[in-house]
Formats: sequence, structure tokens, C-alpha cells
Amino acid sequence: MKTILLVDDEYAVVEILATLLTDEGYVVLTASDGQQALDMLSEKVPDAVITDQMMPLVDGAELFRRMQENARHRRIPVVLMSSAPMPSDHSKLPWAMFLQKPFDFQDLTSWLRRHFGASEKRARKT
Amino acid sequence: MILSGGFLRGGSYIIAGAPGAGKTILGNQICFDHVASGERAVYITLLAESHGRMMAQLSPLSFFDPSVVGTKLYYVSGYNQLREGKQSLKALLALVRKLIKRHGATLLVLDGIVRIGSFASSPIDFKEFIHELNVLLNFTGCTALLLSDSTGEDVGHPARTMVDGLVELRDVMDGVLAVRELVVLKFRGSAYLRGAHFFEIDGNGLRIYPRVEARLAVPSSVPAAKGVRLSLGVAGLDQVMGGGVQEGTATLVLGSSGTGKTILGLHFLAAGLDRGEPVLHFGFFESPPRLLQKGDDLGLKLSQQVAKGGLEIIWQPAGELIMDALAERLLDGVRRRKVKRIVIDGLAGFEESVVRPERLSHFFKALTNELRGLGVTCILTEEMRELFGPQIVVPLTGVSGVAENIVLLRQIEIASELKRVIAVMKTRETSHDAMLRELRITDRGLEVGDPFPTNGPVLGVGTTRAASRLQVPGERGKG
Repeated sequence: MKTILLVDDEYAVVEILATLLTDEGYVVLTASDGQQALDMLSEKVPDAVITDQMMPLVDGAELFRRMQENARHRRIPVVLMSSAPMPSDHSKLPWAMFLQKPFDFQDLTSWLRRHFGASEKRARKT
Repeated sequence: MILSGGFLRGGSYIIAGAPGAGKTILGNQICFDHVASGERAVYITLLAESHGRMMAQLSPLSFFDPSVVGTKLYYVSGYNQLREGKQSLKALLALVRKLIKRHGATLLVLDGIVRIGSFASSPIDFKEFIHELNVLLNFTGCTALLLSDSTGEDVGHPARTMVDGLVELRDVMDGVLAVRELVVLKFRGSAYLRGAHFFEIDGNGLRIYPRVEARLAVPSSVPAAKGVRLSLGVAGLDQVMGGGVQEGTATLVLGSSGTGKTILGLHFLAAGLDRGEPVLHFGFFESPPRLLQKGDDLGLKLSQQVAKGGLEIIWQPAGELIMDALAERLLDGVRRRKVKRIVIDGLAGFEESVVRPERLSHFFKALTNELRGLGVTCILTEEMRELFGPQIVVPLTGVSGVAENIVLLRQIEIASELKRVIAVMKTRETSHDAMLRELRITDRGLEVGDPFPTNGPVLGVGTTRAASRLQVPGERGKG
């Protein structure tokens, strides 16, 4: 089972999204801000991180930057969620996926299935 | 129309109203309509009536389709979840989540949201439930209707501040008349028609009539003025009015009972039929057979025109009518056949249907503007209550202002004989002959005679003598 670290300061988003992801068969770890997420990353390396952008203390961009500095975390795909519109030059951004809130949960699960399916294919080839 | 397109996907909306206001019918009607378009819906009841009882009550309604119940539309009780002590709201939310996912529902009805509140351990607990429900709806794209017994007095209910919209159904007494009203109190993310809109519940469920003056605040089109004059079909009257009435205008015909208003309207329609125009008679008092007989007796051959499809008669016998519903029928009749001339015979029919008299002038203004927008030339007849007397009073407030032209028909006594007289009181932006003339009803209909041979005030007093000129302030008359 794939493990996902879900990071958002809105408790209801964490609560509902975690439940929906669990229903889909994922193991979900939750954190309420970037700093807490970094603490959890030091103990367990998930298969993907889904994080909000605007959070107190450490925001989503900073969380991503700090993950890039750590060799253990650099390859973890990060999905960024934000209430702000998608940046116009989003193709150049480092996120694996950008989701503007509110988004359809199906968009997220479709991406996760595609991503994990592709990474499993790669793993089988190697 | 009221919500500018409907509820938004993924939004939450409270439908509030006292018991019997129509919430359950509306909730079900929306569900059946939703699944008829290929979507799926879940209806969760909470200590309300049993599903069997609800089905029995819904089954006579035209929207009810038993084939979709249990396949596309699921009825579930959530009451067991509410009995799970402190975790009751969490359990209910989990049930909602599972049902949405299992059935692929894009519409959810929670019937009895106030009962959920009474199971919450604190107001915060309830707010958390609503908040989490909103997030769930956002992620799943499911729209929720939360049916609530709470009404206007309970505006502080926590759920009201957190949902995307609030619609209230009211059943109010207006004198001895019970009136159903729908009011949108809040609707995030889109414009909506504010204020009260009347609705009725019949075998088709709820039928809502958006307030005409709100719906038609701006007419659907504004055609260019062509300056074309149309005949009223009465010998002599066209000349008095400067060559007829301008196309796309409204002419108010005022007169006491028996002065020839209806016959004037029939002449007007017959003149349109002679030009090949589709015409409409919209009346409240004379039945279609009587009206056609009257026209046929005058040689206007209206019965033939009904058979040919040139003339349609929409008759609205008196009853507890909603004036917005009347306007909808009228406009539907105009649009359906691209009608060019209409007679609205008896504006009092609207007055008798009205529940809010203060609306009348705005209502008629919006309605006549829409008719102008549709390129319709109309005659509005209105009965004056006074047979004789020193004053000419337009019975309906604000109506005279919406008509470009006003024609007055009256009976006067001259030398112990009653005579009909006609006078053009107003023609907007054109000149007219303001002389008072005799009006005769013959076996060929109305005939306008020469200027009336009197020297004293006739209309104002009702009995002989003095000036025969009429002038409405601000209007031009060549006399």
C-alpha cells in the first residue's frame, strides 16, 4: 500500500481528504503545517506528499524547498494545493501536480493512480 | 431563472420552511429532475416520515418515476447514525461520504438538518459537521440540499452562515387568501432574483413564478422605433389618433361598463388579422364562445380566424390566480405564435389576482416593456367604476403611465338620452384630435361620429353643456 503524507492547516480538509484517500486504499499520514510535515518526514518517507501552499510557519513552497535539500526526500513527488490560481508559467514549476482549491477529488486520484502505476512499471523494468 | 441557472456544483444549500411549506416536495422534485438528466442522487431522511409514506405521497405527482427509485435515486435513513452518542455527527458524515461514493451521487438531500443540530453536543460540534460536509461536497462535486424546519425567526442558526445558499419557502395569509412565497435569502457565487416569488403546488409539484418586475426589469430586446402606424380598425378613430397607433405601443382604453371597450379590442384584432398578423385576446370576463359570437355578429369573422390559427383566445376566469402566472401565460401565448397584436381585456383581472397591490405599477411597466420588446402592439382595457360623475379616475394606480395612448369611452346624458362618447386623452409624442365625438355601436361594430355638438363640460359633469375638449397635462393635442 502506498503511503501519502497530507499537509494542510485546515482541519476539515485534512479530515475529509484523508478519509477519502483511505477509502481509495492509501495509507495516509497527516500534518497541520510544513514544520510538522518535515518532522514526520525525518521518521518516515512516504510515497507522495500532498501539501497546501498557504500555511503558518512553514508553507508548501518552503516545505518543498527543504525536501529538495535532503537526498532522502528529493525524489518524493509533491502535489501542491492552493486556493490561489495556478501560476501562468506552471509548466516550469517543480511540483508534480498543482491543484487549485476547490478541486474534484477524482482529479487527484486519477493522478495518483497514473503516477504510482507508472512508477511501478519503471520499477518492474529495472 | 431565480438562481440564474441553478445550484452550483459542490455547493450546500438550505431549503427552509415551516411544516407544510413544500420542502419535501421540492427536495424530491429536484432529485427526480436531476436523475432524469442522467445523474444520481441520494435522499437521506432523519426521523422524518418513513420512506414508504413519502413514496405514497409523491406517487401522484407527475415528476415521480418509480423506475429510478433504488436505481438512480436512493432513499436512506440516517437516524441510526445520529443515535451513536458523541460520535453521531461523525458517523452521519461517514455515511454521507460512503453513499456519495457508492452511488456516484452528484446530488444529496439531507431532510431534517435541524434534527442534526439537536444531536450535536455543542454548537461548535454542529458547525464542524457543516464545515466538514462542505469540504466533502467540494471534493466530490456533490451538491447538497439541507431541508430545515427553521424559519425566518431562526436566522441565527449556525448552519445558515456556513452554507452557500439559503432559500425559504413561506405559506402566508393575505386576508383570507393563503399565498405561497419563495425567497432566496442568500446565494453565493452568482446573481439571483431577490425578493419574494409566488409559487403553487399542484399535480406537477412546485411551480414557481419569478416576480415579473424582477425577471423583466430589462426587456429581452429593445427594437428600433419604426414609426409605423397601425389601424385600430374603427372607422374614424384612426384619423382622430393621427393615423392610428404606433407599432409597438400600448393603448389604454378606459370606460365604464357597456361603453364598447371589448368591441374596440375586437376591431383592433380584426384589423391585424386583415394584415395577416397573428393576434391574441387575453381576457378575464367574457368566455371565448361569447366573445367569438360577439365578433361574428359584427361581421369580424373571428371564429374562422380561430380555426385558421390567426387568433388565439386565452381566457382566465376569475379565481385565486397569481399575477406572475398570468403574465407568464400571456407572454407564452405571445412568444409561441409570434403575436403582433394583443388585447388584454380587463386589467382588473390582474388586480383581482394580486396579493401585493403596491407591485401593480411596476408589474404593468415591466409587462408592457416586454411586449414592446417583442414588437407587440397592445390594447389594455380597464373598466371605470363611475358610470357618471365629475371625476375620471383610472382605477389601477400607475397604469396610465405605462400606456403611450389613452382613449376614454363614456356614457353621458344629453336631453334625457344616454349617448356614448369617445375622446383621445393622450398620444405620446404625436398629435391627436382631442375633440369629443359620439361613438355609436351598430351591427357593423363601432363608428366614430363627428365632434360632439355641445358647448359645456360633458365628461367632467356627465350632463350636457360646455367645452368638449380634453387635454392631459403634458400631452399635445391639435384640438
